[in-house]
Amino acid sequence: MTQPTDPTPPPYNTQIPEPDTTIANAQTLFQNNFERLFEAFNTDHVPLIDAINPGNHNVIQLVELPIGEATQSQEIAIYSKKVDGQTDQLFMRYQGNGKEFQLTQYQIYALPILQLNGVIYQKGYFTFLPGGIIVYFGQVIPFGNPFFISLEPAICGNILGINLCPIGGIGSGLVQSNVSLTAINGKFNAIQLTSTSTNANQYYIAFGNI
Amino acid sequence: MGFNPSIPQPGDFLGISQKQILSNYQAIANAWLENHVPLTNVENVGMHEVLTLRPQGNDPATALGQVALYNKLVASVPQLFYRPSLNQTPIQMSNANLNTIQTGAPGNTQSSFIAGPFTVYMGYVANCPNSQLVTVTPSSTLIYVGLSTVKTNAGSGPQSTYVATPINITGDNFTITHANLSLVNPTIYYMAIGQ
Repeated sequence: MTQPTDPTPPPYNTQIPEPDTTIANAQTLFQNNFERLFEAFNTDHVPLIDAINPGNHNVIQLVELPIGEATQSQEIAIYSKKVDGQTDQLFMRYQGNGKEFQLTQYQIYALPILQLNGVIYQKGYFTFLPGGIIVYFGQVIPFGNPFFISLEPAICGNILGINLCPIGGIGSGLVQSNVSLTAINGKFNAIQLTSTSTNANQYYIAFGNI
Repeated sequence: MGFNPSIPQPGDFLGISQKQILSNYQAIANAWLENHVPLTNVENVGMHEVLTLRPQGNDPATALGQVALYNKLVASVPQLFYRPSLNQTPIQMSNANLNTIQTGAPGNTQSSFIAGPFTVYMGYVANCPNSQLVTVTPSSTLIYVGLSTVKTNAGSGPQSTYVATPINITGDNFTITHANLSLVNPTIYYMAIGQ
C-alpha cells in the first residue's frame, strides 16, 4: 500500500494575518510563509540558516525573459532570452536602457577530428565573442587542390576575417594560398584553399557573424 | 510601510502586530520581486529573472571557495567584473567597445571584446592597394595586428610572391603594405587587438 504524498503546500501569502486573526488561527499560515521563504532562499542562495554566508548566492538560474530588462543609470542587467535558431542565451544591457548585446552564443561542443585514410587533416574548434561573433579555429594539413577547411557549425552568413599561420616553416617559411569561401543556402561552410603547399601544416582562425 | 525588523515586541497586542506583520510579509514579497521569480509563484520560486547589479565603490572581498560578479564604474560607465577567490586581481569582463552587425553585412571592421578588457577587431579590405590605411572603430590602442593576404583572382599573377604586413601601427590605425605591386585584386583580412 503506497503512502499518500503530501499535497503541494500553498504559496507564500502576502495577505496574512487578517485583522481578526488570532495567533492560534494564524500559526499555520505564519509557519507556511516562513517555510516558503526558507525554500525560496534555498534555491540559488546560501540558506537562511547558514551561519556564515546567508544572503550570498550559490548560483544564478535565470528564467527566460520575453524582452530585454530595463536598466537605470549606473546599472547593468544580465538576463536570458530565447534566440531564434539557438536556445536561451545570456544577454547584457548597459545603463539607462542602453545597448543590449548577446554575451553567449550558440552551443559549444567538441567537433570531430577529420581524417582521410587514417591521416588527420583537420582539428577544428569554435567558440564565440560577445555580440554575436563566432570564432572558428584549429589546425589543418592540406591535401589536394583545392583543399577545404571545414567551418562547423555552418551558421555564419558573413565571414569577417581569416588568418592562416604556417607551422614549422616550409621552404622560405611562407605558405601562400588563394582563399575563397564556399556556402550552402547563404551559410558559409568552408574556406577553400587553392595552390596551397601540400602538407603545409598551418593554424587557421576565422571570424563570422550569423 | 517598509520592512520593520523590530516587530513584534514582547508586550504588543495582536491587534497592533497584525498590521506590522502583514506589512513585513508584503515588504519581503515586494523586495523579492526585484530580480527574482515572485514568492507567490508555484514554480521556479527562488530563481532569478534578471541579475541587476548596482555599482560597487570597492571590489568585494572573496574568501576561499568564493567568487564574485559585480558592477564597477570605469570612467563613469558601469562594467561587469569578476573577482576570483581569495581577493585575487579583479578582471573586467565587459567592454563598451562592441560593434557588430548581422547577416549580410559588408566586411568592414567589426569588433567584440575579451576579458581584460581587450577589444578584438576583425575585417577585410577588398581590392587592397599598397599602403592602405586602416582605422579601427571603436577606437583603442592597438597592441596586435595580424594580416592574411588572400588572392581571390587566381589568374592575376604569381601567388607565391606577395606578403602583406602591417606598418605604422599607431593608436587606432595601421597601414597595410604588400610586396607585389603587380598583384591584382588582393583581399587582405586582418585581426587586431586593442587595449
